[in-house]
Amino acid sequence: MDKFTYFWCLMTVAATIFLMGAYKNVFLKLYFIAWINRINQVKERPEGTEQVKVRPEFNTVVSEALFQDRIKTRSKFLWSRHFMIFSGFMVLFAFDCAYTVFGHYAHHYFDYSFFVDGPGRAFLKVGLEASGLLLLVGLTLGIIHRLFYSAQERSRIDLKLLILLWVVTLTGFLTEAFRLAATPADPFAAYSFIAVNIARMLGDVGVPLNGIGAKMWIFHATVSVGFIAYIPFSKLVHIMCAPIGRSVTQNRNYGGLKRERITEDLL
Amino acid sequence: MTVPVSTLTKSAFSLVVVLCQIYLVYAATLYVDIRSSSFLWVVATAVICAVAALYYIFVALGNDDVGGDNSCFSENVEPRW
Repeated sequence: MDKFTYFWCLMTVAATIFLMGAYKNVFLKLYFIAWINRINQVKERPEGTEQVKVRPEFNTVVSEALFQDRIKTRSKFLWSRHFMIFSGFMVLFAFDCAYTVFGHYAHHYFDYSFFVDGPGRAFLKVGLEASGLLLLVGLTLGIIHRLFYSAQERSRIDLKLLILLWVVTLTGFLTEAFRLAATPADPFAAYSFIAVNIARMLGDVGVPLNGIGAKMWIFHATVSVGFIAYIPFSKLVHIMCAPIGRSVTQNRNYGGLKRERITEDLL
Repeated sequence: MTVPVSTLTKSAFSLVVVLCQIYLVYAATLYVDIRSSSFLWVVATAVICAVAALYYIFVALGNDDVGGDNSCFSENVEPRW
């Protein structure tokens, strides 16, 4: 089995696991809330209970997803770290999608060279490197902070998730570096401004390049796809539903109902 | 807690899953020769995944699994009226 066959088989499995997780942990829960709303409309509500909103509110999305104001109230360091991870991940994801669509797919159907061997490719390379660096710095700060404050942060921050995404990001740089080390004549090498320096270092220390690039590519693809599949089963699900979740739980009566139920269970 | 998820809703979500898999197989044709035995691996994987997804949605999960594998919606509230 060649590496592309392996990748597409893996991608199909991961996409299925991702969608099943999204179904169970996001879709069904939103469905549940909508179902409560329907009951709410039919039956008379006791005083103090209100209909729960399922739609994300614009202000909540801006404050929670874009500016992450709640984290800022804890500490500016935690906010900086989270904002670096958030913005690095989102921008990297956007550039990765653009690179996949315009650099790998669309030229099979349309005749253009801008993103294949023109300035567009250089732009995408710089964007991938810069956002990847931002993400890697944010993750490194996050791991260090989590290790130093493990007693306080254990319940909030999942260390293995941080390490998984850190490995994904680092192996992305290494994959590009090994590719450049094997193809030093690549005219776009300079635009991969981090990977090209790693490639030079690999050359300087005499790392044998035969086959390592392909193995690194397979390893990076495997951990990346594994990361995608793991999103809806982990705390990372907040990427998808934190704004919706906050829109729901910021309603004080709904929060009160939750607390009441939890208390009754404890008693 | 039983949540009455309709068959239509389940079918709609299943359709999304199957369409994603069809697209992935189509995307794979750009990299894997469709006349090669390697392509059979991709197709077989997609078929197995589709069957597994349908089994998960319609049989394994049932109607009453609004459980919590995440922290965002993990506390579900029963209607108290």
